Amino acid sequence: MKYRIVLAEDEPQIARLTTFKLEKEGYEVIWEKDGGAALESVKVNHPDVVILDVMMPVMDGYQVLKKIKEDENLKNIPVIMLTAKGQERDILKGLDLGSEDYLVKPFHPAELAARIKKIVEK
Amino acid sequence: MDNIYLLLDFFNLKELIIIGTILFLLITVLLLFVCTLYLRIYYNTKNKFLLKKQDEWESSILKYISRKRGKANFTLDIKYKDFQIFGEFVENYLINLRGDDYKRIIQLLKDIGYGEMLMRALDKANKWGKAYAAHFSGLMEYKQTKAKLKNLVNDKSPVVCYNAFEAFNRFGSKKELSQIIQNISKNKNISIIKIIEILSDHGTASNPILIKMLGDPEIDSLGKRLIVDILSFSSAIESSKAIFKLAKKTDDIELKIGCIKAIGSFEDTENASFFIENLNSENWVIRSVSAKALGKIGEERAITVLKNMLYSDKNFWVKFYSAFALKQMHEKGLEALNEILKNHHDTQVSQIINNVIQAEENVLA
Repeated sequence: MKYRIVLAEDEPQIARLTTFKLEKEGYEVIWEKDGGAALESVKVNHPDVVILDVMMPVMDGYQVLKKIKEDENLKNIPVIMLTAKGQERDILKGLDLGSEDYLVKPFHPAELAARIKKIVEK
Repeated sequence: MDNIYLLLDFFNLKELIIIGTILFLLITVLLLFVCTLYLRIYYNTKNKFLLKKQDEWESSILKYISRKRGKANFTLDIKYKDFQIFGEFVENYLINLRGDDYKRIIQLLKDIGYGEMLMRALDKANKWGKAYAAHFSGLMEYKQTKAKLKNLVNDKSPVVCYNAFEAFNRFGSKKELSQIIQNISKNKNISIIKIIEILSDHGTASNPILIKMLGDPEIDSLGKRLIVDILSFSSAIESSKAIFKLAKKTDDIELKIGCIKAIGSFEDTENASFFIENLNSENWVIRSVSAKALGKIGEERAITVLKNMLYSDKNFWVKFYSAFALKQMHEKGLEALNEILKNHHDTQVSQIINNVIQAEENVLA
């Protein structure tokens, strides 16, 4: 079974590398460049996991997370937040809003893949 | 020549000047238009070419990091003239990644000879090229450049100096860094503030150096204020002693205030007497931050003094923070506040106490 991931990341190189790595692990990855597009994509595609960068244009990661958790049809989709170094205190904010997990940048794509695997196996 | 005489027959000098001016302006506008068009086409073409190159680089990098060890079936030929634009492209990976992928990209850079390009740029490039090479050496943690970076740290160009220092900050030892800082602080072209900012970017590992700098007489009050703020922000409790010593010694009010705030933020009860002593300061800000610090550490010895300040101090903020400090002392503090409400009928004091009691703590902290 191919699990579907929506990846919301505005830095194209990192997004493409992450997509490349996750696709090698067998996931289907839909990449969105901003929070608004990511939210629409989640509504349309109903992914198995959502990965949200915190700092994004249009809508930041927290706003998207909040909207996902407020929607009856989407609230059970697990979300992983990607936060920048030095903003670890904001990790609590993400967890409070309902994210399943988080990773601090700089991050290891293999670690992200491992966390996704843990979530989908649950 | 005959044409000129013909023209002079039809027009007088004034009219000729006007016509000449108009023609000149038209030609200038036309030239500007042609130049703009040329530059636009040139940069669009250059940009397209760069994007194509970046796509090729990205494809090679992804192939490299996904290859099994021992296979070398990729090509990535970077010329020295492209060293900076390639560096700017690869930077994003180095800044955002860690672990195996990060290490593989570093190995890739070494395999394609990028390290040698950095060494060459550190020697021969202009100041911007040197600054970039220094910056990238730090990102790549390319220790072969250490000796060159040590020299560049004393470069007369601040931009080269800062980038070299920043690179050293990433991979130099603490001893080497301390030696460099001692030399840098004597260089009048270099801002010690910038050095402190670079140190603070590299987290708590720089704290011992920053703490040592608090005792350096060459560093002015502004630099020390910045250091105190950084140490406070990173909750560097180990700096409490050094900051306390500085607070007692300094005549600079702003620095003293910063020190009191920092020590207060560490919530170290050992310094309670110091805060109580500063409640008598002539400066209202010092009195306020001392009151606030006493509230944070929950020093019940200060209850009586804080009560007195609440109804006798002339400054609104001193009263406010005295009330807030009492609130933070929970039962005994709240008892004191209620007693004041009951026995003293000063409207301002009653209003302050009621506001403080009702307000959420995180709003006031």
